[in-house]
Amino acid sequence: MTVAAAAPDTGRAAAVLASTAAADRRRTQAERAVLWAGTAAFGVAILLFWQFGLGHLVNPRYVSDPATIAARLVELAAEGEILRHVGVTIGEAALGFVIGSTLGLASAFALAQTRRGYAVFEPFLVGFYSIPKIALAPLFILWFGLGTAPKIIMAALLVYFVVFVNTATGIREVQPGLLQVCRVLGASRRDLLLKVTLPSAAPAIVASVRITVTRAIEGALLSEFVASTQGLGYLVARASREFDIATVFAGIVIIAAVVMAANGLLRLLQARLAPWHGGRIHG
Amino acid sequence: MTAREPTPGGMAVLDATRREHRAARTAQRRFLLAARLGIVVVALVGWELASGTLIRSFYVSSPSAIAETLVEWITSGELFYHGAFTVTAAFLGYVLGSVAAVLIAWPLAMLRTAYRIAEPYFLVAYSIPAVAMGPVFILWFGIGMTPKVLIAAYFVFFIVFINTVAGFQQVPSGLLDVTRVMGASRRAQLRTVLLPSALPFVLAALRITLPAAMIGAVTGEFISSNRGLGYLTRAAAASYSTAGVLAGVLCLSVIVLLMNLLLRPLGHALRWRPDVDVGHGAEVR
Repeated sequence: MTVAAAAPDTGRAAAVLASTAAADRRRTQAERAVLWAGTAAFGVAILLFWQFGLGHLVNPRYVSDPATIAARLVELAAEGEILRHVGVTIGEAALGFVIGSTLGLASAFALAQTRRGYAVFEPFLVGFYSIPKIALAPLFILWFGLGTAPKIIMAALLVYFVVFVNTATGIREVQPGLLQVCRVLGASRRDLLLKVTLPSAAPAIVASVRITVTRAIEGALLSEFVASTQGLGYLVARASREFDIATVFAGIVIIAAVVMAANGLLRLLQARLAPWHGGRIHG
Repeated sequence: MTAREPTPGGMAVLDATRREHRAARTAQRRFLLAARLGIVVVALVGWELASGTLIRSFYVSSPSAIAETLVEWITSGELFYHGAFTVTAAFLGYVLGSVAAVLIAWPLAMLRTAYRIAEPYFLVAYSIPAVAMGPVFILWFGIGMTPKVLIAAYFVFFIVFINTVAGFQQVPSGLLDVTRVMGASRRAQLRTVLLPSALPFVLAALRITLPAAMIGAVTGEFISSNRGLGYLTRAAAASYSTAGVLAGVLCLSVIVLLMNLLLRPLGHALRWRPDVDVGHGAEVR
């Protein structure tokens, strides 16, 4: 039964439908406009208060103001020095991220091949997992000096455990029924791994890899805070020691931009690789 | 169909199977214990022997040197002095961060439009690595206890905030509609529907954030301080004492492990909501 056959005055029905749809669209548009205006107004209010109000409440030396910070950002960009720092930090984080996630994946798959092996090593992994990794930063500096190596290792370490734990969990949560059926149907170990285990663990793996990007950047930053001669963490730490609050905030703005850009990139990638997954992970 | 009494022969078989089963399980447990102990012993002995012979002990120290440092710290009271500072800062930060998060998230989650207006700003603030805020807090509040408490609170705040909002937003709207039709007041709705359904999310966040608070406090101490386990570790590194650094790491790990154990009952309390899984921002750094 079609609408046309049931309703003799098709024209009127269509008009009503169209006007409802238009009203609906207008309402969502209005709602979106309110939200947009509200969001913009909120942001502007914060900036205005920071620029003109905050300095009267607390010593402006402590909070700087948006105009000064923006000027400082432009200045840093013009000097070109900032590009070097950003490049160093991104390089360290990216290398650490690649190393950490590769090792995490590899060791989780290796260990998951033997149930006994996993059972034996589990308490050690829990123990290592609960080491506050930042406490190792001074040790890495003792071992590897002030260069980029300790930063890469710290970033890799922060990434490693998250990827490892999530991959191992993903592998162990594969439905045993699926594995049994496939084995009965004559699948080899390789088939099982490639066609059952990997696809069903993929969402957890992809999601964990995604959240670890931020951690890689944090690892690099933290090591740079502890001791370094270049990088965004160095920039912020030095400015903080010199009581140059505008530069500190400028650095934080850049850091936030880098993190958001990396997150956005990875989210796009995740949508491509595991579109069916919302992204629920164990930290 | 009535259960038949098993024949004496059947009983014997049953008993034998059970015994076999139990024996297998004990054997398995013994194997695990032996394997784990073996690994620990081999690692410790290997470390002790290799240090100073294969590798310079400056780099890897040795188990005995670490134990010595620990004993020294304990007898001189340093461990307690610094440990108490760090744990206090972490705990205060934990309480401050989670209370502030719940108090801000709760009203915001009830006002949908207000939340959607504020959301982008929270997301931006959330994407600033908490570590990066460390120097700012140190600048503002000096090198005492306050900045450590605040950094710990900052580490905790966003995780609890995001989960509280999520908790309030996932309340099934059907339940709200039904209770409203049945004449529930706003307060009754809050008490009987909203809070019980959001609570698991808040609890789940509270369970994972105590270690995060600890890490926040240590981060603060790393950046600048004159007290606390983070300071102790860093001071050891500054004087090139690898044993001291490793002893500090060991102490911190044990504290974090204990905190996780302490909060485990919270996880059991959440058994009835297995779908609550706080992944986002569960940052045990």
